Amino acid sequence: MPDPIDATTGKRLSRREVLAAGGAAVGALALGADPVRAATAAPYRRRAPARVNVKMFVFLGGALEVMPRRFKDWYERSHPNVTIDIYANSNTVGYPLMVAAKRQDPTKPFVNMGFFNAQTSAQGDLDDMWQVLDYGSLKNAKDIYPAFKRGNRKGIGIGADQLGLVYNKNGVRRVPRSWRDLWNPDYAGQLTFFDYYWQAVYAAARLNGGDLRHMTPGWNLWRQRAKQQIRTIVTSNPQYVQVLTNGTASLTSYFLGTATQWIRQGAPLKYVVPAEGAISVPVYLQSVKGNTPQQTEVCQDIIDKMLTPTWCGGWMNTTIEVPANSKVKLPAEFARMAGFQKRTIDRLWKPNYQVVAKAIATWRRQWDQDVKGRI
Amino acid sequence: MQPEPGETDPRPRSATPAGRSASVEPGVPGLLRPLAGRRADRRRFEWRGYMLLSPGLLVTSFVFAVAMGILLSYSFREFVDGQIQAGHSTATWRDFLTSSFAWSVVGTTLKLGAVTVVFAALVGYPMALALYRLRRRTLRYLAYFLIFSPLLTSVVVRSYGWALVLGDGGLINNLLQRWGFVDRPVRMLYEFSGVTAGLVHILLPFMIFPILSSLQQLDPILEESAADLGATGWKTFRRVIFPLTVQGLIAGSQLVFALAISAFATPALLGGGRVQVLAGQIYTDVGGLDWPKAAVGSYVLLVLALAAIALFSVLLRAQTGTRRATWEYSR
Repeated sequence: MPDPIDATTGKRLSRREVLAAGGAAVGALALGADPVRAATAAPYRRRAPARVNVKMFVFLGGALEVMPRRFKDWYERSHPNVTIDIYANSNTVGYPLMVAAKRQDPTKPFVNMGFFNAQTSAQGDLDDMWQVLDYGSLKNAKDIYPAFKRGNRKGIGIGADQLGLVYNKNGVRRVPRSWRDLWNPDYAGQLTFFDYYWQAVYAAARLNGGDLRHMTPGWNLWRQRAKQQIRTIVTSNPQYVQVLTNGTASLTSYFLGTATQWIRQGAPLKYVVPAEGAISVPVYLQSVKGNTPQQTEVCQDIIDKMLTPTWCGGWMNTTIEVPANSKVKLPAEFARMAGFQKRTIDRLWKPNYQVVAKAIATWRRQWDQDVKGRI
Repeated sequence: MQPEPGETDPRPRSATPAGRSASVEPGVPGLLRPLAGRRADRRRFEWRGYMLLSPGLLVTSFVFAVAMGILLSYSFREFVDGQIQAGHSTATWRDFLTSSFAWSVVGTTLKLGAVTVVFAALVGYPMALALYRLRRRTLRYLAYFLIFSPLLTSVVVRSYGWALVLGDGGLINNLLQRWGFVDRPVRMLYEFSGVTAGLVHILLPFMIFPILSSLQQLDPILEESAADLGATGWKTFRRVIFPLTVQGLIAGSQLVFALAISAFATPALLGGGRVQVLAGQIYTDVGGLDWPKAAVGSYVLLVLALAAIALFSVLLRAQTGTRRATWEYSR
């Protein structure tokens, strides 16, 4: 006869615990309660909860780390059996490590849960990286806007940043207003991009008769204009802000949240919502496949707690992102910002990130050849 | 120990500084010992050498072999629709070898390595000579510290430092504009010249050290003899010092070239996307999950490094041969 296993914790039960569970079940039957729940809950209550360690992926960078770190402190205080390790990096750098770990041993994920942007979340779908979340058991999921819930229930949104135009107030003669200004000769030699910025190509494609599945007009345009327009391509945020503030380049397209943080730190920059609409970049909370049942339970609980108006609002305040929870109240400062206006939100471009993830190799090759290779 | 005629020098080349051949060093006491005893000594020396070498060699060769094996396997896979495909194919190799962009990156990488070596040699040789000539100990230590200080700081910090110096609003452009040499900033940052300047500074110690090592092996009597025979300072340098230290120069060039073609941080930070090198391309491919392409790039970089090492080794061997011939002739 196989040894009895505790369904809640997955651990073997001792003979004494089995007897206690049996007694509890009999007692429960006599009182008309659910005997299965009573049998499994009785020994679990009597034992100190097992220690669980969870590694959380958070975005690297001052303001992006604030809310997760505060949450970690709070959660560890209120759940003494749980420890949370934070792994801070960009999705671009950290995600390949997750893939490598999964290939090596699918039961030992590199991180257990964390924050992932829409593109990485879509890439994770292709790599079968994420666990399906039980939206029904997430108490706060009912307050989350439908746009932040994923069809496959792999992850749930906590907020959304947006990509628009960022310029140096002292470096341009005319304030940029449109995506077209990125290839406008008035800004020749003043442009900088992050390495592999397919969004610039997407904007060019969309405004010239193409779309996400038909990017040729965008590639054609940048093939012709890259040399004339782009001064430099950067690979890190510190480099980005340095280039934009020291006069090397004056115009780019980047995140509202990051640009606002730079502005708060004193950079002479300004964020503009392009006339045609900004590009939406939702951020999702994901639980990673390969977690132990205990880790899965804790990750689901962490995600649920992060969706509360308190923590979701905290994420909004520090990262300057549109909150996913409908009960979060916008501070007056945010309500005045162009990026948070209803008109802006209604006109956001929402690319299909599944298409983006599938096209990454082809687009990157074209980016290297047609854009980077020509500047 | 002097080798017998027709017998190879038992000491490995690396045992003498900067690969100097032992055959040029006079010293005969070993010849007075019986041949069998000397052979036993040699065997003992070799055995100990192998024992000392084996742990490090095993670890590095094992890690290297495993890593290269995995990379080789990945290089014969394909990245399609955001996924590494299961089957093996030569498509990734074919794409790389037929891509004009890939070849332009290879060209830039080689050019960067060559130009860095030339400038590092032009700057490094006189500095090594100056260090060799310095007699005051305090000054010599200060000079050592200044030259080797780049190795004490992070390459990222050094590269950002160069970005502040070379930028449009940086120190050099400020001075050039203030003194009226130029009207508008000269573009140095995010250009090939900026990356070269940064790399030469960072890799200079790797050029200076082997040259200095060669210089320190020079017998001072050679210079004195040249002077006694009426040679000018320039002639002594040209005919005596330089030929005897060219091995250090080649060894330094080998190091600097290998490090320059595999440099990642400096080209990324000072090149600003305008200077595309293989190491940077491999990094972006890894980040983009196109591991097959990154694996192909890694192999191409390895082949370039091996080819360069082979070339420099041939030069070194030729130089050693010349010196040995000179020594034999003079004997």
